[in-house]
Amino acid sequence: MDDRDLESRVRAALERQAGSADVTAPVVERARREVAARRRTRWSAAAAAAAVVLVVGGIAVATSGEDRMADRPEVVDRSSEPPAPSGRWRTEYWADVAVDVPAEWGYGGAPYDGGTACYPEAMVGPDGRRLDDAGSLGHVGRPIAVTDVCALVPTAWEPGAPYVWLGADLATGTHEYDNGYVQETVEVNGSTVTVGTDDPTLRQRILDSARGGEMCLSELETGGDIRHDVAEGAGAEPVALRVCAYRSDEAGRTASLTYAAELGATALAAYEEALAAGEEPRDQCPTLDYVESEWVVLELVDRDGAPVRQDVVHLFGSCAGIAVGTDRLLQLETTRLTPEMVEPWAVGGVPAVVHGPTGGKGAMIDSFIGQQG
Amino acid sequence: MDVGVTERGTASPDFDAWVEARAAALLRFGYLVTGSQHAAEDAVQSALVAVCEKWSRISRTDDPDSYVRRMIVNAHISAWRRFGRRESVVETVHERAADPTAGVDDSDAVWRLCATLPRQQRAAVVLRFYEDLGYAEIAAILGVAEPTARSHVHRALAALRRELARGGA
Repeated sequence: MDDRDLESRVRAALERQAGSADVTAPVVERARREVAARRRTRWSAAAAAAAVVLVVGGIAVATSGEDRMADRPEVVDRSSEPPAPSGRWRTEYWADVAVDVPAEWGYGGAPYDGGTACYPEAMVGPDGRRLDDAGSLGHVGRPIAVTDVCALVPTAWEPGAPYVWLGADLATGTHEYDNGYVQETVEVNGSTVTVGTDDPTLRQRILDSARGGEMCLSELETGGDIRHDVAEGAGAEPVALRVCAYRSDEAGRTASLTYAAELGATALAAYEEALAAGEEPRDQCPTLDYVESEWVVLELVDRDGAPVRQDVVHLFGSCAGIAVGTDRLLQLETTRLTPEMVEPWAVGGVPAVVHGPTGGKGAMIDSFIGQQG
Repeated sequence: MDVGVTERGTASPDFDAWVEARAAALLRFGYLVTGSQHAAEDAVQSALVAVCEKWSRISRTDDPDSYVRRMIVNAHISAWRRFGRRESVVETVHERAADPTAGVDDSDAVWRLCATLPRQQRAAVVLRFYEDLGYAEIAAILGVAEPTARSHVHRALAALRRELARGGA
């Protein structure tokens, strides 16, 4: 029996067997119902979270306006229409770089591994909520796969909205797209900063804002201590919660900053309340050997920005927990991670930058990058 | 299901129109990959849920079908890894028992042997000889290197040839 004969027989067998499939099964209807059910669950959870924020942060909304949690908008129709430019800016961080971007921009993926970007558009809004459609909303991207749908940049992709990419795997220089967008990549403190827009004034303003980062430590030794140059105010009262996300390099010896943000008193209070209700610290997975590659360091900082205490969030599946008041990344004894401990700070870019547990029945599924594929 | 029409220069196909046109073919594909009607419906339904939620992005890729095939293959392989399920060929054997023609008997024999192949090899065979895909596409769907995809098909054919010869076919 030669190859051609065998292949012919296999083709015939598969063709005949395929004809036996019941193609009238209502899989499409079932899928529609499942999608609708998932969206109702997400809306319910978002509405509950927003209600808590508005009650707890009611005074903060009226007075300070600086607390990201208090600024979180009410649950409304998640139209793809982007918010009108506010004229406000926020600062984004990656490794040792800080860049200012329009405050209304969302979060997406930037090119890594020779130009693959998953996906280079806004998939998460500025407040951390997942978007149904990016529309024309700008985005900040990092070389992290936020989804398993990817594009090859720039050869098989064309932008439809402005963007800033931090740490993208791109050579410095300029690329001009056929639709008038210009993409310019520069290097700042060892990281690339890429700006793509059809507005040369916007592009220049963003590039001019690129500087060394000063919020969180840009790099940690995974096996070492977390030390700050500023004097740590051990006796001071914390007034803000600083979120510093890290990812280790391939060798696992150092971890670089992937995201940073500072949240106000409302988020701090909600986090502390959730911690107080937590379980006693213990080794969450005493019989399991596992290797971590991502952490979130939560710094409780005083009025001068000095850390009063730092907690390390360990994100590995069912072993997830928080090491409270620690000075090192690697720690076995933690307080078991709960959705209430995560919700106050898994906002902004965290759901587009950090991989984390989905939680029981998907309780934390919108707080981190989801499972791919 | 929401329609994912992009606001960009090139309009993406309507999701509802796409899924109505492709559902039958996806079920046949799923049936061949899983060997079971029930498993096929599970795998295709899971894939369609994921596609619906990401349609605005998927529709702008060169080949949405490739993405969906990958979801169906992964759903089937993942299910086995999670639950250690073994697919049953009993369903297809009973359907064919009374069919008298030689050509049909040969197809039955080949299909029964296909059903005993390791899951990735079977998926590779279906993608190569039913979907008529090239090895680069097969590799992308299975998430392996192209030489590995060729190896899957080569080993599958070698096993089929050996078993057919043993059975006197």
